[in-house]
Amino acid sequence: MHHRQNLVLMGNEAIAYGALTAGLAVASGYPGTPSSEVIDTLLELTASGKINRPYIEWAVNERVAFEICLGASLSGVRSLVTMKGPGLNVASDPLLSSAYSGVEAGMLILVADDPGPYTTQTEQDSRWYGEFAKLPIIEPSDPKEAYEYTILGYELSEKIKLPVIMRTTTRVNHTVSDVKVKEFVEPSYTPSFSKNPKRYLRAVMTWNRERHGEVLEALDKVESLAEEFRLNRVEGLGKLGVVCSGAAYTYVLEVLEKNKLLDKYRILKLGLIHPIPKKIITEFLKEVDSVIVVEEIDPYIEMKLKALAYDEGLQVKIMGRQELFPRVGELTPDDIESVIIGRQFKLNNVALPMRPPPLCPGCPHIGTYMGLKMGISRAGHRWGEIPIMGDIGCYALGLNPPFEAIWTEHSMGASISMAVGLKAAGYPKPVVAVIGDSTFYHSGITSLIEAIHKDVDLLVVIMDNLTVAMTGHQATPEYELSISGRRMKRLDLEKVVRGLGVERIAVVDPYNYRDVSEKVREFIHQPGVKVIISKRACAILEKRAGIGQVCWIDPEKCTNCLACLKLTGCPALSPLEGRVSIIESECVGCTLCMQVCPYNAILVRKIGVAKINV
Amino acid sequence: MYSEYSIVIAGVGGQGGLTLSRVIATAATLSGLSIKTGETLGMAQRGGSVQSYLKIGKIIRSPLIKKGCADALIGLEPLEAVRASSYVGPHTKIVLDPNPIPTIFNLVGKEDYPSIEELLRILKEKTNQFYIIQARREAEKLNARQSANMILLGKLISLDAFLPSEKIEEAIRIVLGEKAGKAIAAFRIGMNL
Repeated sequence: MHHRQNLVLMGNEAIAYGALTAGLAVASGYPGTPSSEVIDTLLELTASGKINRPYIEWAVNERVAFEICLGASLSGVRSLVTMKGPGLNVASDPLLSSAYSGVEAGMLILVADDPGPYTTQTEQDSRWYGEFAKLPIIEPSDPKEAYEYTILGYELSEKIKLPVIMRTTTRVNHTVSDVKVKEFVEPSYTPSFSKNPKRYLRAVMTWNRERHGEVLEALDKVESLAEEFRLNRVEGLGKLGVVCSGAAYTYVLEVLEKNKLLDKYRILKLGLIHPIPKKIITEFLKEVDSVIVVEEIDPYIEMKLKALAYDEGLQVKIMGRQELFPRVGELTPDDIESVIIGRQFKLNNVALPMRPPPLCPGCPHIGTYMGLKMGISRAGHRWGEIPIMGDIGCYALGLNPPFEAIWTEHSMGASISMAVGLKAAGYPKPVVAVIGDSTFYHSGITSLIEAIHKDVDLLVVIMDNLTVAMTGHQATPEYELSISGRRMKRLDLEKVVRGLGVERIAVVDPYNYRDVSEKVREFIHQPGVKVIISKRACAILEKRAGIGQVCWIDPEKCTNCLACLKLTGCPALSPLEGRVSIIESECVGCTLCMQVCPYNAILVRKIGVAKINV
Repeated sequence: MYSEYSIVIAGVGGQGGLTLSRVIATAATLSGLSIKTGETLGMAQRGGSVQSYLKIGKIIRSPLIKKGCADALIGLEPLEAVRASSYVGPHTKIVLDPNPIPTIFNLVGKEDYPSIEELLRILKEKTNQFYIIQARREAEKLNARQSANMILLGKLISLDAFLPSEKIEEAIRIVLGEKAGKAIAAFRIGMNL
């Protein structure tokens, strides 16, 4: 008997605990909300000495992470790869081949979708990948199930020798709940790898056709295994049917319980999404008079049910997101209640000012954008005239005032390649691409190779804050030491860019924004690819490490002209109570406001030293 | 005493709403109750609107709260409290720190911060049980800016003892470790406000 412990865990922590209980050996991923805390948790447990596993590290991108885990599973150890929905698009190339190679030990692919969306570029429903990649998909409803499904996922994966996708949504990943966990199990493995050409080599087409058939046969076994694992279940005996999965199941149950309607309803809760479990669904459809399908994002289960009802000649009315619910956005218990009992909820009719996240106090990106703005102006252009192609990361917040800088933000690395596209089309003006360090290593580097090779006239600004900041400060290829304790070989961004063949490179400190502007002015009309590396650690990390100085405003010199606020937008400056002031606890002492103050009213002082007029 | 208790915490990223939520969740588990919390986060580390939802009880299904149905709203900031006010019904208790945090539009002078009186009026219209607490100012007196949220929690517990205060203090020790001392002091101040 395992010792059981009741813990308060976030869904992502529960997944990490589940993987460790299942004897996980290798984990990798690329940070992306709402998936990042799984690897973060595994790394923290490693750092605190609570676990010792052969390999738990962030990878440079999702496809690399995926292939690392696939390789590990082929050698007979259990692996876990994690990513957000769009990350699975990046990993889709190896994903689609992975059914053909299969695995030896279990491989779990965690993909976290974001209905809403709250933090993601598209409201992507990754369940479609099940059919596309010919892999099973399981979907837990809450942190407790996320823990259990992680363990079951490995068993399922090993029974059919295929990777298993676990699809979650934000309400599972970021929900904190009490979860009973068992003790961690040490990985029992002796890595071994034997030749198996038909499985592992895709260069022989007859093998590929044979494997296609074998994969479909393996998938045929999943439905009965799901029955064994009790992944799908029917609750209640009523004649009104509800089919649901994921977090939506918890809303359905809650609404029916609170309205004392459980006896009228029959719920089919699906934990196996692909292949769709035909037997239990067909039996269910025969027992009910009507069916409401409650699921997040696309009408996936709904369409499967309708097809199945047609095949079985069943006339039962099936309705879901196509007919009853809002077609976009996250489902809520209110949506379900309004469909089931017709209770309408009142929305706030007050129009409230938005609060988009600003760049943080002392964010180095503030200095880079100030420099870019001044440099473009000094090169003879208006701000807003030169396209600035953006990318994914904190610097995308430069879309907000005071900069309103970026014109596009599309997919990882797209800033550079879409800028190449503008120039390829003959766009006459200079074009700038801005990209963060981690996004550059993730995908921007291949775009830059293209730009260099085609000798495109383009200014690239790599905003190097030495971390993956937006998702909570994960490692980049510039880290020398992993949280896991692993020594890593640090890449030097300037050498990388120079090695690719860029001749005009400058490394500048964004806290000296005039240096940034000078290089922008100098480079922007030069031919070919120019790269400015604007390098300074993320201000949140700097602040945690301890800062030495803060800025303050001398009230005798300050005319309250607000230039500091209008030019930097720094949230450490406060315009409230009629006069601009610096919130000392927020200030990191970057001095950007001081550099733009026309009256020299902003001063700097060492921490622990009194305010003295100099 | 309470078969189920639901709380919305509304604030700005970086104000510590998530830590507050974790303290309440831990205290609920220590009290032998079930808990689910959910968060509506922005895409950044700090500075955007953040809402947390908590439900505590014997059996909790989902982390989300129906509109008009929260037992309590802890407002860490007035504009954000109003943004979350669709969860407030006539029975809801609101504890609010009325000190505003400007948005980026306010900072650069593109938009004015709404009138505080107007924001408070919207909340007052929704419920009679509305408590304005100068939590940040009280915490600054303690030289513990980070503990302002614990003052609000203390006030709420004094109004509705949905969890035993000793379990909350134990949870603060577990969640905050060595920083717990000032947080517990702040929590006790809130209890007596």
